[in-house]
Amino acid sequence: MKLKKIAMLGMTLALSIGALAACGSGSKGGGESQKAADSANGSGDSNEKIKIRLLTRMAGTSDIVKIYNGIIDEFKAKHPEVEIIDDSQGDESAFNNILSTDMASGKMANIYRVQGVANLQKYIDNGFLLDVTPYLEADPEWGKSFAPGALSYYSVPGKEGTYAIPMESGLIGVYYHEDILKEAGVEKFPETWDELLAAIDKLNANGVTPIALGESSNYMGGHLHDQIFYKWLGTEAAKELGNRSKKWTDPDVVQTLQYIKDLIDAKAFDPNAVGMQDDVAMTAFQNGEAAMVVTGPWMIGRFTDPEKTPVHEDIKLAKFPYFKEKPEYKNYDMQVISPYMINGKLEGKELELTIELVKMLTSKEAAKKYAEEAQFIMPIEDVDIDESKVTPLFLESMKLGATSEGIGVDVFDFDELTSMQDRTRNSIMSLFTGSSAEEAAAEIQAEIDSAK
Amino acid sequence: MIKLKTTKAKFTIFLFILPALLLYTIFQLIPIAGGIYFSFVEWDGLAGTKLTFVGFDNYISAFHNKQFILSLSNMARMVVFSVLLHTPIALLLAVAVNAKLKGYRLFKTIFFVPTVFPMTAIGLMWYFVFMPTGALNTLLTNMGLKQFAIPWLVNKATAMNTIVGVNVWAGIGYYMVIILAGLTVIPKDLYEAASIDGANPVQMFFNVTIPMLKPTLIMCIVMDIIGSVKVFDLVYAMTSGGPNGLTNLPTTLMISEAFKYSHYGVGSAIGIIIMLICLVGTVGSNTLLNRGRRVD
Repeated sequence: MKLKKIAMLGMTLALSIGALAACGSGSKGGGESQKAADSANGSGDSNEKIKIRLLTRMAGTSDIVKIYNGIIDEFKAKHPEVEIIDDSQGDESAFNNILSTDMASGKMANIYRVQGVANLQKYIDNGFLLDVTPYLEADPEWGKSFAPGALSYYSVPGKEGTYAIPMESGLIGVYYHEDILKEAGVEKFPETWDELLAAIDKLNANGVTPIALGESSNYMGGHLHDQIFYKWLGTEAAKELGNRSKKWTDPDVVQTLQYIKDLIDAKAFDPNAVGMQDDVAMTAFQNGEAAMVVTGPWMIGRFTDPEKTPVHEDIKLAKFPYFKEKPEYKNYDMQVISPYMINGKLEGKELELTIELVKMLTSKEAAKKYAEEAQFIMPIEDVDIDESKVTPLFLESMKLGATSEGIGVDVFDFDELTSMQDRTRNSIMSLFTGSSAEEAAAEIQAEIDSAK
Repeated sequence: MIKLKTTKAKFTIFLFILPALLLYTIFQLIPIAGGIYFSFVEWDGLAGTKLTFVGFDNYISAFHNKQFILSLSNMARMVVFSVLLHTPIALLLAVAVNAKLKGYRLFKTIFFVPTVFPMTAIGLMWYFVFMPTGALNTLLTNMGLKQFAIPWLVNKATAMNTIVGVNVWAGIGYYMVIILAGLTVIPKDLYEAASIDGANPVQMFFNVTIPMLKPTLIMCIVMDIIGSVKVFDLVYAMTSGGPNGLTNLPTTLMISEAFKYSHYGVGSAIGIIIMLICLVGTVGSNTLLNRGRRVD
């Protein structure tokens, strides 16, 4: 009996210690026992694999991601001693959750991306970002290949250096079905806002949804507002909102929201747009059920694929119409600029290998492959693209993108309040559910005021 | 009752409790303590940055936030409708199933099925039903009732109510099974005695079944209150708290504040408020339960 009791006590203790040991082993792979196992397998400390973790938006099954994965595989084959952990997420919300967890724990991925530039100063101060200038200078062939505008986007006021490698760029414009516009009596794509409203009337009269928009994925309304904002106020105004020298409730800013309200009143969107997801709206455009859609170059691959877009042949691209009253902002455009950022705390061999991987991902060869096989634009100059391998839509996108005199990404990109992405997009969405432009503007401004 | 006479016996018991205690401390008490601590500091979510003690500012800020007030009102609606509908409907279904009419096993399974599915799957399924071009609106349109086809999860009048309705639907089977278990232990003698006294089935239901089920019903209500306060996955799958925060619950808002906006202090304060609401709900309902037992 006594023996049984002792045995049970022993088992209880073992379980407790086991639980503690399991908790204490952490993420390094099992502590001493793991090391012993490694040693037995002939992979001691000296041969321990260097881990390179990536946190990008390159996830899914698209052609773009296939090329990205191909480059990663190439790197793996070249460096079998390196373990690649790719935590990349296609979903924006999932991506943001991982990024904020990394920032809170201080365990940043080797290669990652941050949306916007307003908070970069804070990240630099915390050592999260590497100044890539020395590496760009050390390898001029690679370093000088980037479009200067895209590279300078990641220069931070008050800090010397460049804090990201741009990996994606391109005009966010209006993709439209030329034939559908012509059938409705719109012979030429509207160049001005008034012409756009007239075209919307004609399209409605012809029974076609003028603009495809799935506001349940509220970035679509956000991108539409970005277009209107830059055409009405220019790109500097976004920076002024960010540095608080301008308010969302200023009449000229409210007007940008009012223009969205005007589009809603003009029945520019599907009546169900507010509850529709982006993919549903895109499918409507791809099937020729909607005449126009505001989107970026990442959709070119799909728009030119006959299987995915039955009416792909008549799709054209144009800049968002400008306002006659503001001709000075005619070529102030929204463009996408996405980066690869490098963890500022890396050192030694790990840093060296991470830089090498970034170079592979942003080389001229990669840019050529991305362009020719996935219609994806990287901000790299003098890439020898075989024009027979790319579509006219892709070439048009490159051509139009090069004419931008002012470039802005999302308006909230210049705001250091991280809640502004949600706040602005949600308030823009509220315009679709009955709020006035003034109410939406007040709601956004209240977010800023309450954070003071 | 075993009396613990010796220190050795007490030590033995302590050792047996130790594993569970350790797990509870590591995974419950320490995170709660951390949450309480973070609710009193301001931190921008960056490792290595200074944590500033701000007293109750995060709590004040939460209560000044219109979104939080809206989320509390949504939570209240969720709790009230769940309590008002879950237990009574589950009780009626349990009594019907317990009557063992023809095909009762099939109905029991049908009623219980939603409980088996993960809430996220249920959320997605109902999202596809209620989306603007979803099954419900298609059905209404095909029936010539197009005027009733509205964006259910976007419309201010219907968005939260739709989610509450789905939550009620999803939970009924669970409470039905609990009540069914309670029904099976009611002695048959009581019904026989009532029958001899001339009671009809309705009288037996109100004078035998309900009183005998009282502890079970109160337990269902307690669990329902706590469960409704903690709903997260259903809302996250159906609307993510949108449009424009219309369907936010404190749980979804907490995630947004902490992880989307890097307001860790406010997010933690909301977490602690949720915990306090659960605590008040538990203590309040336990008091009810004990009172019920004394009456019995």
